[in-house]
Amino acid sequence: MFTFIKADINIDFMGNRLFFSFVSITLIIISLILIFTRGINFGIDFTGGASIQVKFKEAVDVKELRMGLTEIKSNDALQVQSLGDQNNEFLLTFKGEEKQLDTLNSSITQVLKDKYGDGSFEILKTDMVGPKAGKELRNSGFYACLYALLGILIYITIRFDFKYSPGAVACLIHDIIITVGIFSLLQREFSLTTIAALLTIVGYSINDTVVIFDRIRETVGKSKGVIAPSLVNKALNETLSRTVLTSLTTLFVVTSLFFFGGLVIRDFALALLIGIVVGTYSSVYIASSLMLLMDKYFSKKS
Amino acid sequence: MKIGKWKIYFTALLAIGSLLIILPSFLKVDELPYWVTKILPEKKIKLGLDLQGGLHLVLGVDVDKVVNENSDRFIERIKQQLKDDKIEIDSSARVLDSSEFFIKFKNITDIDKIKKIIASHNVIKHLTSYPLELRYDFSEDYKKSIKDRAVNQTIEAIRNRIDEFGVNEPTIQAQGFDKIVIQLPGIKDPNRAKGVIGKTAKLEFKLVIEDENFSPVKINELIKDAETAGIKYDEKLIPYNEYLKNLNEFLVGKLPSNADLLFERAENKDTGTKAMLPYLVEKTAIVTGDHLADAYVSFDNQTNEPFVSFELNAIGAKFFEELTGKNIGKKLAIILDNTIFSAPVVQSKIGSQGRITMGRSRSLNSMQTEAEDLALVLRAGALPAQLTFEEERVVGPSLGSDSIKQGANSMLLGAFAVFLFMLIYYRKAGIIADTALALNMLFITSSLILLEATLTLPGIAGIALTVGMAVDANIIIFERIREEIRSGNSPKASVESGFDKALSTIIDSNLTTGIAGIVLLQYGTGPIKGFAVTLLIGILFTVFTSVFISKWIFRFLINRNKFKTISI
Repeated sequence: MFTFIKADINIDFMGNRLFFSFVSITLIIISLILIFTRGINFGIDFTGGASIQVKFKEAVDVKELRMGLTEIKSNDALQVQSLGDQNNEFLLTFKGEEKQLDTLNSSITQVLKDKYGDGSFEILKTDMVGPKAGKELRNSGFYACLYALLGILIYITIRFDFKYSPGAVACLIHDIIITVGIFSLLQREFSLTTIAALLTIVGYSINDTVVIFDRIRETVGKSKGVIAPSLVNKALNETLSRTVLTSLTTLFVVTSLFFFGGLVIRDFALALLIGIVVGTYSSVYIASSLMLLMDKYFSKKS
Repeated sequence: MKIGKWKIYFTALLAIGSLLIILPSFLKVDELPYWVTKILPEKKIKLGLDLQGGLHLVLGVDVDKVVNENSDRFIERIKQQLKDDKIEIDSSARVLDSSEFFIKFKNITDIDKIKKIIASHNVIKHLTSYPLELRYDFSEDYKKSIKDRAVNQTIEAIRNRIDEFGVNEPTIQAQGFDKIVIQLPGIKDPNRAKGVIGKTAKLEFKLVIEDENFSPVKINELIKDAETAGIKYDEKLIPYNEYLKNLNEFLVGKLPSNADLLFERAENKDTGTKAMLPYLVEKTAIVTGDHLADAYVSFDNQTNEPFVSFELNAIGAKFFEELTGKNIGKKLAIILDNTIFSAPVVQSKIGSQGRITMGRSRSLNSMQTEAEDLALVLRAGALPAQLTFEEERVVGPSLGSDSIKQGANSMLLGAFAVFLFMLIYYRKAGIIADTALALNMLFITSSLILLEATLTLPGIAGIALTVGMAVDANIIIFERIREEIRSGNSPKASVESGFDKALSTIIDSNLTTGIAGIVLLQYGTGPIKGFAVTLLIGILFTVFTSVFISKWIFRFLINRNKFKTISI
């Protein structure tokens, strides 16, 4: 049998758990600082606003384009982003709670027609989100995450034991915060699709965690008293092969999506990429460490 | 094991069935021989707007305004009833921005009579009483029924308009209690469609009030007063209707009590300068768009300019005759969405026909388009409520097809990498895993088609993701089998044991991903809903193919060949 990971591998995961917990807490703190200072680059789904993706037949100077567009009277910031590497495709975004949004896109089109001539460009895509809709999308995004976490917490408590559930949920919160933190660092656009990616990460990470918990439960079996870290180690080592392989295969797919999937999928794939790596790590370390902690705490009491 | 053979046949049958279902979406029907097209089902895969291009609109319906207008009409009716009963009222009015209203009356002894009259309309909820004042509001149930009706009527009116516009497979649905979602796939002129959808098309005929105390000069002065008070019209900053509302509120008391100030928008054909001409018109309209029997485009004999010719129904014709008969020599304003189209002088009693001239655009072509759209909208019926464009997404057709290509290619590439890996790592058992995976993808796609679920770009990503995660189930099983073999069990026993032990883990982990998927389905819109659907369907088939089908294939092969060792 061909293996990456030897069958009799025995890494002392739990021995280093203090160190890795420390690493995780640091990462979470850094992420939170980033989120609150650098801020998240929210897309118009959440801020409200309008965006147009336009492709010119020939290359266009970004500065000229920007200048031409500032004529459009608007209370909100205009962003011009160049897409692709041929300087002919741009994403024009007005973010904010502009009142006359539905005419904004036509104004922009008119300005482009006047400046560059009708027929020299093609409007690929337009988006407009009014202030009311923006607020509602924000709310639904938030509640979606909340309910998903709650649902999973309940399920884990039922399927396993209340000792296991804080570990599972902490692991998920850890994954979400760090993923959002990296998005803040790179200032990638945080849109509805990003929320979909976060929920997918939640689903995937809990997947991992459940497999590991299952094995831990099996390994601990009938042994009474406080769960020994060595038993957890055994379980982790036994599932290590599977953990690594699954992450690998999923990464194949997500990497392919990231490089070849096109603009819309790219940010989505990036979130998944980060989430899978962080999620695997957290399932192995955070979930199990917390579970041990809970077990120790509650066994001491009795 | 005879049963084992039948399970394999069953699987093969499902596979062939699925293949037949998905083929129409990928092949061009005219290139196929006739007999093939006979057995293939008709359905093609339903593509989301982000893949086929089109317009997605979310409209907000101003349901509160409809309720308030209902309240206004109710107050008028009550006033009439009280007048008929000779009960003296001091004043009555609706509270601003609410449907609450109050009635102030003169004789305290009348209080019971008034209460009884109002209570006879059982949609009313009594709020408070003061010595000489009674306050009321509509009941919550009644308000809700008004709102629901407004939304449904709006959906009907919009559906009529879109039908006339000729769009393939449009979707028009209510969302929540005051929103409408419209999807127009493949539409070529989204702006025109928006115009047709959004026009309230409230047609009204109102008499122009020509009062000597309110000469054009005086009216202009009043408008300037309003401007100093901050009420000014700027096309880019404030919608026309809102400006109009603010203006008329400001002028309450300064205008005759039965008058409203409205504008005619005129454009000088030669110079192109635009102007807004003010008129005083009566508040109530006797003849409205509800009385229209038909509307169509005609051309003026002399100028060749297009105009909209309308015909009134029997009741409308009667009212119109009365109206014009009594007011010969006076001006009658033709008002569309609170803008005066024209205000011609009534020359004679007019029966059932009339014309609305297009005075606004410069080119004959755009005048004609405008006339066609107006006629369409008048025919299809006015919208009972005002609409705001909450969300709008337009995807051009070329982006759509590019997205499909990119999405599909990246998915196939990723899937291929996984397939290859399973072969290398697990050798012959990898073939079984790959077969299960391929069947998985096949079943997911055919389910999407059968369920008429919409495939979006995130949905394609969802299928790709499912492949990556489905392989997990196989990995769990195979690693278990390897463990069993290492502990010295026979191949047959290892396989059975491996599947058994892995089953509960696989179900647990897929169920939790399922929870995330269900939440996404509930709270997601559009493309994200598409992603949630493919994810959930994917989970279902993952369990089926990875656990059951792989097991059947393994068992079948082992029983047939009595392996001493298996290649895993």
